[in-house]
Amino acid sequence: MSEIAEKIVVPDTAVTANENDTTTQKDGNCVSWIQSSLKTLIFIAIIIASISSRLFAVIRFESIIHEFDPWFNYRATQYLVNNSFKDFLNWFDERTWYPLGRVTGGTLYPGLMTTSAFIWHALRKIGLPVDIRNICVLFAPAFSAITAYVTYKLTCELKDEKAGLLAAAFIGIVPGYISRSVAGSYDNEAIAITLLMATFMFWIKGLKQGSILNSSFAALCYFYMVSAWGGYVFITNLIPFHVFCLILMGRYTSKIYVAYNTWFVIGTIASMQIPFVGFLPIKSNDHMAALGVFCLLQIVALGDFIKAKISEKKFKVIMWVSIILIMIGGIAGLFLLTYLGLIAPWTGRFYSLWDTNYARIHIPIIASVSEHQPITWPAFFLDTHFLIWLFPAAVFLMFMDLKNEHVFIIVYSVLCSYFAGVMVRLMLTLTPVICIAGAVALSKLFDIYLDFSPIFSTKKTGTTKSSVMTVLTRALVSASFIYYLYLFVHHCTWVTQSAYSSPSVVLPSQNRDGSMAIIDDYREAYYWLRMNTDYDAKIASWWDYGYQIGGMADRTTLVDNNTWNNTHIAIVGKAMASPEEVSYELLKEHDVDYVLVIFGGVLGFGGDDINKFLWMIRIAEGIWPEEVKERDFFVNQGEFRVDSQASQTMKKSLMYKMSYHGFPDLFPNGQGQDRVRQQVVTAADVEDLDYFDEVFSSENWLVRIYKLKDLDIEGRDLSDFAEFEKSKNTKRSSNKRPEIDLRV
Amino acid sequence: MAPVIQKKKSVASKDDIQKDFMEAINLSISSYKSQVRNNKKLRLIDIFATMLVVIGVFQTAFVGLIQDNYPFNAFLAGFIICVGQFVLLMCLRLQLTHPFEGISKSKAFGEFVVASLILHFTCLHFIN
Amino acid sequence: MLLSKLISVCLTTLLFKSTLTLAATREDLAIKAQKTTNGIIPLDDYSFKDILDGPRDFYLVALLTCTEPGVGCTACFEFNPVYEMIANSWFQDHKDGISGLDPSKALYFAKADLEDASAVPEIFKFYNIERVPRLMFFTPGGSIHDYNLLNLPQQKANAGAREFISNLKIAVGINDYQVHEPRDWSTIIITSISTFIIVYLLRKHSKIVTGIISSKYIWAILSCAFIVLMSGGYMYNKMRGTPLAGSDSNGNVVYFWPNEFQNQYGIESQIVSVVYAALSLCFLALVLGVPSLADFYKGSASGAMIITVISAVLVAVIYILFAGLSNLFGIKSPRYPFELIKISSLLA
Repeated sequence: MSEIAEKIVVPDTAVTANENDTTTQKDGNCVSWIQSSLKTLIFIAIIIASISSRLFAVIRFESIIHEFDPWFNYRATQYLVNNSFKDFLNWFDERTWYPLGRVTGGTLYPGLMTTSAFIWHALRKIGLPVDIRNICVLFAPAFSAITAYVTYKLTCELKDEKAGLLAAAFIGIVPGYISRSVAGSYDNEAIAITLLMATFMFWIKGLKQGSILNSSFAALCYFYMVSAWGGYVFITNLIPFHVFCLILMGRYTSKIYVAYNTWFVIGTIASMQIPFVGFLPIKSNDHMAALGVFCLLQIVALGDFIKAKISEKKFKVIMWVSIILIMIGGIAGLFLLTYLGLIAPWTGRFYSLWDTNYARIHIPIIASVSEHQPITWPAFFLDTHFLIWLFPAAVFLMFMDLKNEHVFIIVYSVLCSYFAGVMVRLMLTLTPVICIAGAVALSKLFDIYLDFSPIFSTKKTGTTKSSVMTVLTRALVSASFIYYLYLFVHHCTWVTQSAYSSPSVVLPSQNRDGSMAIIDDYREAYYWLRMNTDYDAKIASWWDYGYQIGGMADRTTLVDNNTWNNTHIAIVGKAMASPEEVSYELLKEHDVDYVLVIFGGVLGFGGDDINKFLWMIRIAEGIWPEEVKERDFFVNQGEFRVDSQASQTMKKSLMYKMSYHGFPDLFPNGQGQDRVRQQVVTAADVEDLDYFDEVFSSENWLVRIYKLKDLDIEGRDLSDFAEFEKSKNTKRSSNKRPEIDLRV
Repeated sequence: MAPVIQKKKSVASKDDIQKDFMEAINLSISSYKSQVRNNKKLRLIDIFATMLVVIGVFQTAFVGLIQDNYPFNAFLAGFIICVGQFVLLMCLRLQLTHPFEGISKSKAFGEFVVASLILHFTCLHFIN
Repeated sequence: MLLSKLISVCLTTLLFKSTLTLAATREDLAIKAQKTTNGIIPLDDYSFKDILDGPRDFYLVALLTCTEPGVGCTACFEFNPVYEMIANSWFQDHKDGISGLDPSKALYFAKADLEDASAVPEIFKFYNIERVPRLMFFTPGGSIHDYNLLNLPQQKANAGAREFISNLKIAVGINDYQVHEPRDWSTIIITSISTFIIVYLLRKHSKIVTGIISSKYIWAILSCAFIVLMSGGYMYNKMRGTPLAGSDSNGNVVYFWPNEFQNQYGIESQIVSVVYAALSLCFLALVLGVPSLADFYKGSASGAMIITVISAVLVAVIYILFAGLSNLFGIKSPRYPFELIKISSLLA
């Protein structure tokens, strides 16, 4: 670990060394050769650092796909590798969302899978047959290296190469970006941030030069981005907003016209090629800003043409009159079209950005995702360390220069800091701009203070004393900031290894003696499913685990992380929240064979189903307010309890019974100590399951699988049957007992 | 632009603005004519652009006439390629009349060709 | 004879009443409610048992709240007007508290307020209330001890009242319950006057206004302030309505929620925002201020001295603030190893 940390230190010291060179030495062939070779060296160091710091997860655990969504991406990639591209786009997956199925080909962003399949084929062509899993695992680190390069180019456009190198080093190791791009985190964001930066880089280039070619590249990158991540809407709105600001500032030039129109026309038509996006760019309001600015630019261009011909005073009058009329007409038209239903209403996720209470009230499924929560200040600090306080200062410095490209960064910063504040996952789009702005500001500081040329020129001007003073000041300031850089590197390494390198499929823990232990219950359970159940068995679980069951156990699921059908999710929620007999009917109607719950009470794992239970209830209540009531699950004091004081509805619910089935028996005297809730569950609290059989519980009881009992041959009600059996035979089956005290 | 003037009365007298507008339009047209007269390239671009506008309007009118836009993607592709090519032509025209620094006229033309090719390729793909 | 009969009747009724004095009737409550302006029956020390004890033939919602400023219950202050609106909406249409469509149902509202910490109302002791505001819901039939607790509406202000009323309608089973939102004339008047003033000032000083709008410094300061606010976690406070500060088990005020990464108090983001702003300002002073100062003092020896001192001070301030920030982060995440200075060790 320290080895990797040392590697990461390299770029920063190298950058500062490079700055010394660039500022102190005169031009010359030799110098420029040294500079370029140093630059290459720094880049290699940055790339090594950015890749190696993302490999903690692989070194600590193994080469495995992380979390939830990546499992779907991985499964889709496997499908793509095994079938043709055309099959992939027309893929109808009947093994998820049973019995509805999912039009997977038309509802995913294919950019990620296509890229990795392409890499796989290319490597095979050159004689390197690599397992597709390894490509998927190492995909994100590889692209982070490209991101570093693109960020360098982008920052060069803003200031110079020194700032560019700093920015590349920052983005390479900043935790805010690592959080979504560690090895194994095979998610859309892994590629999307690279493309985001590339689009912006070409956009700035196109804007500065007025080059059609660069803008076309921006459009192509935008197309790639659209194919890879739903967050492309951010670009779709940011670039028009930038242009709009420039026009308002009276900075219209033909270059803006060229850059924007080329980007818009090619980008729009290209984005419509993605099946999931389809006609959205001309229908949804999210894209209307781009269209509006496009029209505005045509008018402004005409105005610009006329302006050159007539006097300024007359032009002003004409301009204002036209502007007001066009704006009124445009807004009225937008409202009319939305009113007539010709363009789609704003999407829910978009609403939840502006009206912060919207999601909580109207769409519990969005509110239930932890990624959509607002962000606390420690999260900002954790993700960016000292860049977070450099950031406002950097934006202020941008205002001092205020060229067109600086306006872009300002707009980006202000908008994105709001979005990131509202939704944790948008921290990812804020991080690059923090790095860029921070690098620009810091390199400005170093321009001033890392310049020790007065030492060499003392003889000509000033007294020795004053020059010594100057040098002292400079040394002091630069030393303190170089120290912060050093600290930043350590902070990043620490955060990466402690917070962002857990695959969450495999959980790290410690034995009593402090040595590392790995909790591998998920895979154990999924493997059990794969081996012991029928290939066509249907598994009901909360949607969080849908992708993993599909990817690892290869069994049909009812709901998964795609969450496209709220009603279907509510069915599972209702089944979990209802009494056994109701759930049994409901699950039988959906042909379910097994029910899977995650239970962390033995282990002390907080992200289990009982903790998510409230959301299940809320989502179910949204559809069946009469049958599922959130209030019934609380005890009088408005608390959510699981011990003997728990409400009757809670104790009767399927989720409760399944989670705590046999749990008190693990403990002496039947006093089950739930380590998550810190409450005692006794045998008297947990009623027997009459309709379900426990078929599997993993080593630490993290995953518990139940089988629906078959209908009784004699047509008896299963609860009556169970009563009958109980009276005959009082002996209870004994469960294997996990060693509960082993882990801390 | 005529209705524009009638609605705005408060700023100055109505006639003044109307006069301004007429003057502006006349001036623009005359300068445009002088710009085009001696430049065959610009004339070619303008004729092409006009043709694109005509085709675009024709397509829209056709869709409006038959009251059906069934292969919507085909119509969209046809319409967008007209708009796109028109806009690209305008970009080229701007670059030819006042070349930007760092981009020579021939380079601008080359970039224009590349962008047009990309545009045509995607539109062809979109038509199916 | 007649007189004695009358007296005896009076006496018997009085006796009868006194024996049954614990159970209030609809009429009693209606009279009590009509005495007040907003239809909320006060639960004072003498009457609350009479009002709340059963057997009842009506529904009753009771709010236990605390407007003592020292307690600082913001939720109480927020909910009081909402509660008044809820009660008022019912009594505007139902003077006697009885549902017009279904006369078997009657609904009343009551309230007890802890206004003075030295005189805690009996009812608070009676129910052992530790947390306010409390909404108790008494259904017909039960005794003084039979009640359910209601949740406060999740939404604020008028929306909260609407939410509560719609829930109450279901709980009681009445349909003729209209929401009457008091029209707030004051805001309309204030908006119109301020709009008028703003427009007037804009017209009169259009030059200054355009100067302000087009000044990049003002925009720069606004943007930076906004960014500082956002990165201090302001949106979290706004969306979650976090308390300003908390208290530990000993009752001391706690500014920073220790060990909680996903939670924060309101004051945390204020402190952190101030620290961010101060750090940014120091940095700007180093980048923009010091070089221009150097130009100003060019050539003079004392100038170099001054600049050195200023820069050293700025560097020290940045270091201290940054160390403080790392320490604050250390409170939130105790295993954080990179605190610049251990402030606690300095104090000890």
